[in-house]
Amino acid sequence: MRYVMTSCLMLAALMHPAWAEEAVTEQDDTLPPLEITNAWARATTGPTGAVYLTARNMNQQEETVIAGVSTPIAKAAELHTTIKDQRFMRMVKMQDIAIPPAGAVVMQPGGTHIMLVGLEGPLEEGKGFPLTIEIGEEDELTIPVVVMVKGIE
Amino acid sequence: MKWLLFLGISLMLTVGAVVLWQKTPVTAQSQAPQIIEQDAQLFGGAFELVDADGKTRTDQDFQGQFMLVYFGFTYCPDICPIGLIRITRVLQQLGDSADEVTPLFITVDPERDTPEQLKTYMTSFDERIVALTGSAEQIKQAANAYKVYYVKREEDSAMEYLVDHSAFTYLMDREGQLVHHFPHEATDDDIAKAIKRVLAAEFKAGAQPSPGAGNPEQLTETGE
Repeated sequence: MRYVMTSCLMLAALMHPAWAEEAVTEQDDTLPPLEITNAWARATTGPTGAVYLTARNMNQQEETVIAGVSTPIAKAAELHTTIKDQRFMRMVKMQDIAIPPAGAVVMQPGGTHIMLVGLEGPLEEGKGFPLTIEIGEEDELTIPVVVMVKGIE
Repeated sequence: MKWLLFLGISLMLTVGAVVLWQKTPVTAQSQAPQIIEQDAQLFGGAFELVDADGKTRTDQDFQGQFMLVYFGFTYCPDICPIGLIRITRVLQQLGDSADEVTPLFITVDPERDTPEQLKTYMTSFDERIVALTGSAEQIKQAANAYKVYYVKREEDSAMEYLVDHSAFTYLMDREGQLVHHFPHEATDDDIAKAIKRVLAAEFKAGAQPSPGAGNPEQLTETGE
């Protein structure tokens, strides 16, 4: 019975706007504003590579901007997105990616991705490398990326 | 009693309407992307290109084989590997039947895609895929034959330029005629199934010669 009551209270807390707001103000400022999950790169022996990941903005009130990316294993890393129009698939470079409060950007094959140009060597399945994400003007976050053989699943 | 009859009729009508409604979009979908024979004539044709070993290859080399043709370029990290991994999986799915099909990867970036570059790049994919490059003129001819659009576009990127291109996969028959084309979204299952169906139809036609042998039966629809 106590469990049921606790659950009800928790549910009420989630649904009640005033309480929800209170929860937000308790947000830990020391945590990075971005949560990165599912970061992987496609195995390749080519001159360029692609990294895919999900970036979640943990800030409930303000947008978070991915301002740039870099990795020691490539000469350059850029934010790109693939656009399909009637005739073409075209890749377009993005200066940055703004993620709305509590929102997320899902980078996946055939869409937005991090393009690695001038790879030092082949990306071999099962290996990993670090990727640094510049957040806004001051923060940055370095995450591990795992290399996988994957198309569109 | 009249009520019951009325109720019965309305129920039947409703069920009928629901069944029709459910069926209609399915038929519409399977008919929409169908390739008509006239269109098939417009795709494919002569080409003279160079493979990853620097050897000249023409369309004549692949006569008598089915071809699975895909255009792309090695500096393309997202779209093109998806297409080539898909072809790799199609070949795995086909098993022994894969011997009937030659997969071709033709670059739309002959400037950067030298035979050596292709050779390194292709080690990521099935070794049966024949990678082809050539002079700008040769590539233009091949792309035109397959109605492939490609445009080099300068971009403020470490890549200097990108190539926008159409990303269909073409299945050609033993005479070099289009049987089927698959959009970028097609899965390896879609393509493998279509190839198996075409091979089965050919086998059937060969085993039991009939007036319908080797024709529209091969023109099947995409997106199944």
